Amino acid sequence: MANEEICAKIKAMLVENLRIPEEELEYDSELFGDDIGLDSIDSIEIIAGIDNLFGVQMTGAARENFQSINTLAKFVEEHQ
Amino acid sequence: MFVANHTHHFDGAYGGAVLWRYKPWVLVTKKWFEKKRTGKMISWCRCISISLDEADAKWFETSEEIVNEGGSLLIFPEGALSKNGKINEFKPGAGLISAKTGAAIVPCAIYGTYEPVFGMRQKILIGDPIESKCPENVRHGKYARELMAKAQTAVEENYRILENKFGKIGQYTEK
Repeated sequence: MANEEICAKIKAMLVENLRIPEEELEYDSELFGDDIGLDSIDSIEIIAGIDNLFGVQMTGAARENFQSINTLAKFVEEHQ
Repeated sequence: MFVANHTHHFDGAYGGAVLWRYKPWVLVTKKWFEKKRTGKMISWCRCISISLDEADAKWFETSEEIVNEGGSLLIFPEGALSKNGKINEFKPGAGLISAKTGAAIVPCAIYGTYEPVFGMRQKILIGDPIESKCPENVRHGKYARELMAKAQTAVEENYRILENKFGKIGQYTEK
């Protein structure tokens, strides 16, 4: 599992910026699938949020990195 | 934030000239910045690069900053020139900036074929601003799509007004 602290920060960012109800969002919730239901325009906010929080660029990152908080956190850990 | 239909590669320069008092920054696809001479020229102008081939947030962050500092943008939400006889569906990116910043969207219809010598003068009809206030419980992305749907309707209506007044020019063949 990816770093707990990174996951927590990403979750807080998603709750704030994308207005996802906190109680619905788990670290392994499918962000772009049936769980949360984000779409492509929402990925812009995610990329901007990750950049602001961690200084990690996700522009051009493969789609699978955006699947869940866990995959986002793993990407951040690998690119910090 | 000015949004317009995209009829020709000159639209950015034309729109920027008409809206000169607002000094808008124009969103231009990344490929134009990569061309030898055009790229250099564009980089001197108030242009922001946007990649349409990958998830890209740099343009969004830059645009949001510009708008928050009181600046203006000119965006062509179709993302490309129309090649199928109709105004293509407006992408939600401009709407996202508006949803996050509260900046109004001003729909503009560009009409003409850039033939000033043997054709009629280029025209642009600037519509009423569409106010933006994203409700607290609505995702910005969802609100962005609603805004862009309104903007597209307004641009299409304004284009029809110009067409009715000055005649059909074959720019869009589908109703």
